[in-house]
Amino acid sequence: MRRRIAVGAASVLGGLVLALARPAPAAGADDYTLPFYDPGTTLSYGMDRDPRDGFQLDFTGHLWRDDDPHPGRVYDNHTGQDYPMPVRTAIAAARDGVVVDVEGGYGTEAFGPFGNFVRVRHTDGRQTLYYHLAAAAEDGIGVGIGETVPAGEPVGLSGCSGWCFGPHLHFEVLVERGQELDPSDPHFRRLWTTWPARVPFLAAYERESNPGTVSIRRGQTVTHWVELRNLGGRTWRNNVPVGRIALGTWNPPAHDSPFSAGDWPYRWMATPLDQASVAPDQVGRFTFGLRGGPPPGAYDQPFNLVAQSVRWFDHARIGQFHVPIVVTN
Amino acid sequence: MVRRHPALRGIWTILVIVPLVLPLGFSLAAGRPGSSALRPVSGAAPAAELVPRPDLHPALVEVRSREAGPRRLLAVAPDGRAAATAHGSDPAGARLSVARLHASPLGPQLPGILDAGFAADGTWLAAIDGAGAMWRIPADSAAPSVVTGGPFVGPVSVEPGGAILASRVPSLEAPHRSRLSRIGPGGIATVISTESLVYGSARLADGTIAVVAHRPTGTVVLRLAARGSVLVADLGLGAVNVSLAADGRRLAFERAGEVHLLDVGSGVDRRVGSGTRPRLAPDGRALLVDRDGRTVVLADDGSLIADLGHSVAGFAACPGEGCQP
Repeated sequence: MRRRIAVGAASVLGGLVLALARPAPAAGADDYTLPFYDPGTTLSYGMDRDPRDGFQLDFTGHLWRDDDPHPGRVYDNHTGQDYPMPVRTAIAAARDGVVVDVEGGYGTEAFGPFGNFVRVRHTDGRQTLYYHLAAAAEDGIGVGIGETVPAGEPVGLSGCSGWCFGPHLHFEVLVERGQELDPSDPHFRRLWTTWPARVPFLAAYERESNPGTVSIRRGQTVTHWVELRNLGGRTWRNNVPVGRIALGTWNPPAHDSPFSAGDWPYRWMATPLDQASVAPDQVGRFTFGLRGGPPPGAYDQPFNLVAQSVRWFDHARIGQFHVPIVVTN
Repeated sequence: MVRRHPALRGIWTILVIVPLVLPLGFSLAAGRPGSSALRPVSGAAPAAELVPRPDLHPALVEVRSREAGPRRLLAVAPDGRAAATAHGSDPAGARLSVARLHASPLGPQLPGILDAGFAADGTWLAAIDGAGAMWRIPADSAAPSVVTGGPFVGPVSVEPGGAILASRVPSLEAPHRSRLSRIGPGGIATVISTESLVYGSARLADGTIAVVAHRPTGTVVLRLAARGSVLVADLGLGAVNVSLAADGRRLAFERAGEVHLLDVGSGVDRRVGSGTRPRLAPDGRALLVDRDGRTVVLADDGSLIADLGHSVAGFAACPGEGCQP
């Protein structure tokens, strides 16, 4: 196909392999998503589900013992999930919530007993913890106490602060029990066998109104639409103040397009999502006009999806959607 | 991504059962083949020389070593006649060395080393191994014995009666909770502060305990009182690595790569220059700072007293003969 948002099976599998090994999550579409955006990010050390010292039950159900070396899989009493990633990688809220605690005073890669973190409380009684973040002085903390964060919105940047031997995100889901926060809730354990499954924002090309070159007479406007499948973990919406899904120009991001028509909200944004919402695995449509603005000739207009005020979709993973256009007299 | 040495797994089983079956002279490690739980780490004590530096500050001691690789100074004995250092960047595999004045260094063998603190009389030190377990180590023989599991994090201090102060955490890797605890000689840990995320504690000259804690509103310094605690200073967001003078009237901290010196009484907050991990002298008149990978000694006005290079150094609580901390 000449134009598509190519979702390479291998790249997706890199991020979804844990989920595919198990039945589909029972959680709702608006439940948790992975706390980062790159679907190629993989788990290294997972949570130890065996409360006994010296025994480690990993996410596959394999029980390890200390005298059975298993580096990179799980370590004793590990309370969370470690995802290696470069320093200053964007970290996303895994669910809608309110920020209840942050620390950003430690150096981005300063080793010590304590590091930088963000903790978010969710409406289901759980909290999520994002640890080893970059220093606040280097924009490592993107949220403040009391701030509401929609799922998928950045909360900070990864780092290697605290007890850290290589840049990664330590992610935990915690259950409130009085004054304590317990990472070993049984429901949480069940959840973890099927989840995390998806990054917040990912799309795949399905089809469009004119799969060939779009021919436009100069000064005229033609209507075009493209349908994209929601492969992420977040429901796409067109009526939210933060995270509205829209089709924007790409390369460079958000450039003013010479093909912007009168129905474009901005010269860089062709259209928001047509539907009010599109759940994961469903297909969303984006309808917009293309105006023959520039002089006659052959052109190419790239697009990418954006969750407004949150981030662009990962075009390095999903490729880019572009429309070949010929303007005639 | 953490490498972790197990220290206390199954320790209660070992403590209860092993003494019943071990012949005299048999080590605990041999009683549990394949486990590193109580097996001493092999290797001699890293060569380390303790050098008092009264030329720079009356309480300053420097620990020099010809060994390559990263080192951290963990604790200085109150009289300044011994200092504990960790050799190696990974606490799970680091080696503990106790440098002594006019004596060869000791190499207590633990499964890694995280932090340590000397008893007031300097006769023993409490140490947290690489997995967070607490050990007691006589300063003359260096033969460690387990006090209790954890995990704990430092700083470690020892009270006059022998109780150990350290913070218990849910995990070493991501401590979003940290409970200041008093660990009795029997290994029983009792939480002594209501603060949920304690970054450190220090026993001040007047015998009270100062606590540095994280709150959602920022970092605070408190003094434990008979009931609850008294706020000493509210340092706000981003203030970390707080160090107190012995009288608690001055404190140093780090914020965004700058070292601050706060006079608690007057509220004067002076920036003394760039750096990290300030360690304030007991009299509050000098401080050690990590700056560009080097250790520097600063006066309280921020002027440079000395650049110790890659050496490690610390302050003794009351150096010299007749020390009564």
